[in-house]
Amino acid sequence: MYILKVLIFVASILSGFAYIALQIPQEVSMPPQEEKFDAAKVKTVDDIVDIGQKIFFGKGQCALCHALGGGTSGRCPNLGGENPVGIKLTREFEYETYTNPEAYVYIDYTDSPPKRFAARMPEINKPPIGLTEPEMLTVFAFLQKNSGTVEITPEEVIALANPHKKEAGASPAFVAAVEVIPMGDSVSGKAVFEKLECGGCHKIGTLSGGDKGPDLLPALNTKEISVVRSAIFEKSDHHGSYEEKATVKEMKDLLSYLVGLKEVKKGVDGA
Amino acid sequence: MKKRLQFVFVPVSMLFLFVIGGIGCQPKQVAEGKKTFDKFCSPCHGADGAGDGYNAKNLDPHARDLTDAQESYMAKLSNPEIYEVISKGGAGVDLAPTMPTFGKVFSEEEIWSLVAYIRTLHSHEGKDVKFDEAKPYNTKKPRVASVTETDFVALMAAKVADDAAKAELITLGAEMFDEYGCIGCHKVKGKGGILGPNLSRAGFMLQPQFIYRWVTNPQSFKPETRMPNLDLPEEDALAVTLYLGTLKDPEFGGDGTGRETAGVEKH
Amino acid sequence: MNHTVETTIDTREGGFFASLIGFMKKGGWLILLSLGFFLLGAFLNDGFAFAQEAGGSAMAEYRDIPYLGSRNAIWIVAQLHILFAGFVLGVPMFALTCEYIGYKTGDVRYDKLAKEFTKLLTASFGTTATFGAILLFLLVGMYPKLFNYLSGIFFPTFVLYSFLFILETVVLYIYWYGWDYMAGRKKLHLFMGLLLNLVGLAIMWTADAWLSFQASPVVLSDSMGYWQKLWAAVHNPTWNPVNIHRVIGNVVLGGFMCGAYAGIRYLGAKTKEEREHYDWMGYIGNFIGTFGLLPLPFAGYWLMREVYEYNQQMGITLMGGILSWLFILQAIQIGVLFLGVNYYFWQGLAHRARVEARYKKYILAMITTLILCFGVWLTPHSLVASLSEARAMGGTHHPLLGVFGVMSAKLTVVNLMILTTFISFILYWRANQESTVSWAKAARIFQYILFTVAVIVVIALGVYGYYVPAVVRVKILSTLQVLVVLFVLITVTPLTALSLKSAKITGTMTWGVMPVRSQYVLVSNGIMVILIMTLMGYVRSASRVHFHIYGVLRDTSPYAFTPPIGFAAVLMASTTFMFCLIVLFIFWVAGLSDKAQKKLASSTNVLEPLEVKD
Repeated sequence: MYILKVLIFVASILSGFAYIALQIPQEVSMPPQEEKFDAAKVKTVDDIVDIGQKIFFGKGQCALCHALGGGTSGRCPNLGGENPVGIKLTREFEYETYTNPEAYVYIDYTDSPPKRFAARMPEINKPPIGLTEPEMLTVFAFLQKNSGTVEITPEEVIALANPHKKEAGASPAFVAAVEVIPMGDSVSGKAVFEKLECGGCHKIGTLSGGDKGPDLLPALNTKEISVVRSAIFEKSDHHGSYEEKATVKEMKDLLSYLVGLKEVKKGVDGA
Repeated sequence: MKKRLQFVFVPVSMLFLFVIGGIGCQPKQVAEGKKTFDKFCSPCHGADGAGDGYNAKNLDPHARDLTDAQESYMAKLSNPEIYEVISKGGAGVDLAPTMPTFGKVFSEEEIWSLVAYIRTLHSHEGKDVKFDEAKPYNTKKPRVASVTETDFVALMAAKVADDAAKAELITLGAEMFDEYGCIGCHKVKGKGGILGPNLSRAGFMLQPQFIYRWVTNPQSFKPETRMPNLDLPEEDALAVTLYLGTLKDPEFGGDGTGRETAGVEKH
Repeated sequence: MNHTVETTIDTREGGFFASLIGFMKKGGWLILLSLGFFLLGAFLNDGFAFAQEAGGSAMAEYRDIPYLGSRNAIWIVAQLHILFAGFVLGVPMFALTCEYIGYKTGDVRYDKLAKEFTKLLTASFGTTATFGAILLFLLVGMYPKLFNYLSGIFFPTFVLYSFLFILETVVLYIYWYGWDYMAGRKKLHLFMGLLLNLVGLAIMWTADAWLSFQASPVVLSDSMGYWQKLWAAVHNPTWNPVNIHRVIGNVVLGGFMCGAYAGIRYLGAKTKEEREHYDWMGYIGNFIGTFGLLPLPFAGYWLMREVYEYNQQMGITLMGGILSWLFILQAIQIGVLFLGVNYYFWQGLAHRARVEARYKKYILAMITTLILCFGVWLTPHSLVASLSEARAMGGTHHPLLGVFGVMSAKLTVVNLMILTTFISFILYWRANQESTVSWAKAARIFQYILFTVAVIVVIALGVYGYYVPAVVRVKILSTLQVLVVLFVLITVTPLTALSLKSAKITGTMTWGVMPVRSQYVLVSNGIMVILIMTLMGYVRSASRVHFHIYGVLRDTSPYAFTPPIGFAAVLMASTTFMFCLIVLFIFWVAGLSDKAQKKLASSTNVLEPLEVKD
């Protein structure tokens, strides 16, 4: 009865195939764990870079399109190597790129004539990626580490995670230090104060100084540190901009120094 | 009939062989020069040197027609003169500054190879570029010192003492932008070339120290970039940097979309 | 219009269906069914060892099926649906071609063959739809989260799909039931056949949009309009490569399945006419399958290239990561298929055309080539070695064979296998015919040179590929190899056709004398193709790893893991076996009406032919 013979023939082919497949080492691939941003885990700069790295290659899906150096761009700009975005781009622009990527459409100028990149960048802070602002900041910290030194501090990241502080800040998340004590060196900050000759115009409480500008102590006591920072480092009507006159480290140190001079009223604010 | 054919055939074939031999026996430097030309020069001068590259329409004055189609200009130049134009740039030889300076980017041999290739684009009676095996040209690319962030900060402290100084430098920078021919490759507020990125938002996008470091030594970031090292003196570079730092237009000037799309093809 | 019924079923005692019924009656059905479920159950338990806790949520994101598992259920049903769908879409292509040949040449055999193919098609159509409906219910019921997401984007395509399905049903019924009625208006009937093909294509391309979007989604930003989003989602990077690959794949599946059908019928044939008929049908089936098989690897290669372009990580997971061993399995299957296809041609040369002696040395050369190429193709890059073996080798790569584990070697040998199969095909085509055109000798010499040059160029490009960076090899060298082979195929085919025009017949073609083993090879070819389809379907689904929609919608069900390869293989083999059983049943049912009519015809007046309407 030939049908039976045919069926046995078929069954033996299929069994042979299954047998061969079972001889290959059997591996299972488990889905990776979902990462949830935990502010308590952020202590050092390495922590935020680690988190940023995990997000870059995982939840943020950045690695799907972006390479980090080595080789040509392809579908979207390379973020490392010849294009060190960490030291190249401002925080404001980074923030805009994450939240409103269509505002500036990247062109690949290595092509002749230049062409738009093939891929379109989605909004990172919206679903399906939906990174929160502290997470976005850690990604940028990771990019900074990839290009050079990291200038983002853990405190900034923690501050962004705290909803209170953000309301206080009111400026775009990446730009200001928000409500945070910058972790700089206040001793060096004093040197910066002297180098920039702030005392030429300003008194700080009992510390002597010039009269051209106001006494800084009331402002330090009442205003948010972000406002102080803006006042010093961004151009305003009454004050020249000191942004290019100091490195980022010097800025941090100066702010640490100034904040250290603040009079903390116990029981009202602070601890 | 056959005899006449012979009279035609022989010289024609000889001429043919001569031409083939002439082209085929060109030194390899001409091929190298062509590669360089295709990458760096063809966007303005055109693939065949006719002055019709995709960026040519943004240039004023227009890019030189290297094929001498309209007037016999290139034929009248000597090889060292062409070398000088490439190496010193248009500004260096009192021509349009939009011709960039390549002296700090290419090695001696590279520029001579370019000259040799350019010579094939038009007919000329002068000598060909000689590549002597015994005395080869320098093949080392020029060494340019890198600039660090600290250098920039120090420079700022030294030159930009106050607001007035800064404003002065910014005004100077705007002039420098035209004088150094940046406008030939970069667009600002709707005017300029499309060889390099539109800079209307450079101040918003780029960190100031990066702008300075890039302008003074682009090859330190991207060795293969087409941005030349224009050999700017320190103060001029600072002026340009400060000027670019003021460019924070949300729109790119004109088309109202705020986007960099004009004149650029989709992938 | 009256005509005698064409019967294709032997209803005498001990015939094909009688033996089948006998077997089933004796409890065979129980044996087969139990075997199937036992295999399934024994190995599916493996699947639960890795199951994870499902996350709790307000709306049910997932539901499960006890014992079987929702993922496995969908796997089996989807696979069966696709196998039937592939058959249902492939058959109309060559049914139409056969009918057209019959119409043009006036050879009524071709028309009857086309009709026989279409009978199988009509019987399978309902099953395809059934499995489709079950699949839909399972998707909606077991994966509401995913289905909700997909409906949000693709709903208009669901409407289109339904409409196309109705259209296909209508056209198919007209095409089948109106066959004899439209015998006088062949052109109209052919047009219905064409329409059937086009509607079938449209259905497939609509469905392809969903599954290709899952593998290679595009960004659907809020600034896009609803229809813009829909078109962008449909028109994603792997949509067209999958479309083309499946069109050609359907032809291959349909051809080899018909060949397998013919092989089985041949084995059960009792009369000389039957044997001749099924021998011929087997030849046609194998021919069509081979015709589609030759360009199919190129379509698959294009698909893989698009995957790499879309996302390097996905490409690397497939070819270098956990899924890479699947491609070794695929290599084995395709190697067996190529050997089977060639073997069938050579058997044809030996038994039908009786020219084996003349071609013996060519056949020997070809079989050596095929076996060598097969060997290279299935060499993995990294070997499964024990520690001592690895030490002896100096790593996971064998010093000699490791060289063959890379794409450059594999592409070279697959091109060589294609050329070899093409040569078998051409030899068979020209067997027992002598060309009478004036330029015959020149054409022969040209073809020798062309083949030789092509082989040398393919090998040279393959060797050169070792010395260049990957991007050069992938973009330039591999493309050149493909173009060279395609050029040979496209040039030699019409050349042979032209040179054989009004050729002198130097020998006869004897049908119905093929040995039994050749028919088993036809069955094996059919099984191989089905198995390849199950494997490739699994590869495509697995490339998404732990995502429903790659990089966009994560799979948070307990079945998000990638199962071990042995488990997958057993499930694929079981599904293939189930498919075979169902197909057997369908073909048996399809033959019942003819069987009944033949019985009717033989039981009444023996002298006069019975006038029965179809």
